[in-house]
Amino acid sequence: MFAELLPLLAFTTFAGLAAGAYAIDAVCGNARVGGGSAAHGGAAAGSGGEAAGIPANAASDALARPWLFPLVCLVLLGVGLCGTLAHLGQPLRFLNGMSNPGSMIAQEAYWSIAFGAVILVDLVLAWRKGAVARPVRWVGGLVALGLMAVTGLAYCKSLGLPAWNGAATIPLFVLGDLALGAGLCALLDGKALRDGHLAAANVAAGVAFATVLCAFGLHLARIGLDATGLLVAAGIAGPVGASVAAAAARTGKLPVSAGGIAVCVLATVGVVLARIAFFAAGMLP
Amino acid sequence: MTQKRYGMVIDTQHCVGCQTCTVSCKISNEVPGGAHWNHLESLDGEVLYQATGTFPRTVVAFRPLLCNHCDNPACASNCPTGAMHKDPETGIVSVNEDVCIACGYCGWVCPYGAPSMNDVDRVMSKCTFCAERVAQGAEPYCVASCPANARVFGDLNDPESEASKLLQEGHAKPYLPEAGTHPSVYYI
Repeated sequence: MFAELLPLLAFTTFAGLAAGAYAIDAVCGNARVGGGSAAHGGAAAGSGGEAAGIPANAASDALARPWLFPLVCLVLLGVGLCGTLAHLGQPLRFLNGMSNPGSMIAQEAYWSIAFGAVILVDLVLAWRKGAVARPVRWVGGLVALGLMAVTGLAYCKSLGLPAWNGAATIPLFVLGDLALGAGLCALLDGKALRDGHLAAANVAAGVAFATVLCAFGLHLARIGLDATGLLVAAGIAGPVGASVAAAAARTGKLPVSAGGIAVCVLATVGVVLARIAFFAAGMLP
Repeated sequence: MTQKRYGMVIDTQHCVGCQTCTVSCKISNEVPGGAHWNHLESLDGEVLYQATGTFPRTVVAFRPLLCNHCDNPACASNCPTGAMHKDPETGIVSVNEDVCIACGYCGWVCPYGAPSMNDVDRVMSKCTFCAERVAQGAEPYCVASCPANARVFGDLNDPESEASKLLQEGHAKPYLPEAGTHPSVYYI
């Protein structure tokens, strides 16, 4: 049964990392890499940044390698989509899965393709111009939100699986993806944790995700199921651990490079644990 | 609305839980591998073959479950491929195995868990109401084999069918009507 669960976990985690990162970057990336912000970022790195382990001449990673963010997201989305193929009994017929637009599975495919196309455009522009095209990131953030919502909706519509057919399912996926994305943004541009917006986004996503973990746990209890252990572990690793790491990096108590890694790893572990609990509650006998 | 609306009325007060319907369906339809189109649950949803209630008001009762061939089938509306479909002439919901990608979503969205994975051919499979037999005027295997005559099959659009008459008596109710799929299987 775990083999059935794994492809779904892979898709929702990898695609969720990419989608969440675009949604978070659409909001938090503007000040960081926008026109006048390069100087701001550089100044931050040059003054207080040194105390936090940022070299005086270091610019934001997003400015130095603008193609890295879309490239990583494209690879993550691709790996996630390969995970969905492993879930199908007839993977070679996967194109059939887009025949019925009313199906949430087909909707996931449409939104994934649209998201992939936006990332590709972002990647090409970043590669050729050497700068981030903010409007493309905003479009990417919107499409990413759509993908997160239909993913949650696909599971929420499972009338035969009471564990999934609850009000907590959609926010569990949307907020989980945002937590993942905030962590990935921190990993790809650790120095951005120092500017406050990204650190705040990580903490906010963590708090929101913790709230929905509680709501999902209550929903499970209401239908006679129990995944308290996994959900508590998810809450400690993700919302608590990642938020503490983000705050530590923000205040200079943790080097930003290590802070970025810690935030991403802890957020991912938290969301993965929560999703194992989610899938197991629905699919395991 | 379909021309005919084949449906079934199952009397849980007659069902003795012998599972003849389950075995008959599996063997006669040659349902492959671990797939099952018909199975039995306890009427109260608890442990099968275990009495429920408080003495002296205890009861052992069963709910045979099969595809409810809903008027608004969640499996068909949510199938990404269109493999799950409802026959406009008979109302029977079936799966086109040549199109199915075996994502399993129909099994998740069906409130009755009716679609079952054919793990031999790796496609979804489900109860067909024995459509070929019914087209020849015979009853589905589960109905014909039931030793307790607990199942009555017929066209629910025909007021003269035995199934329709049982419904008109008002004792039969659908299972999980709150799911909104408007099932064609009713339980007394």
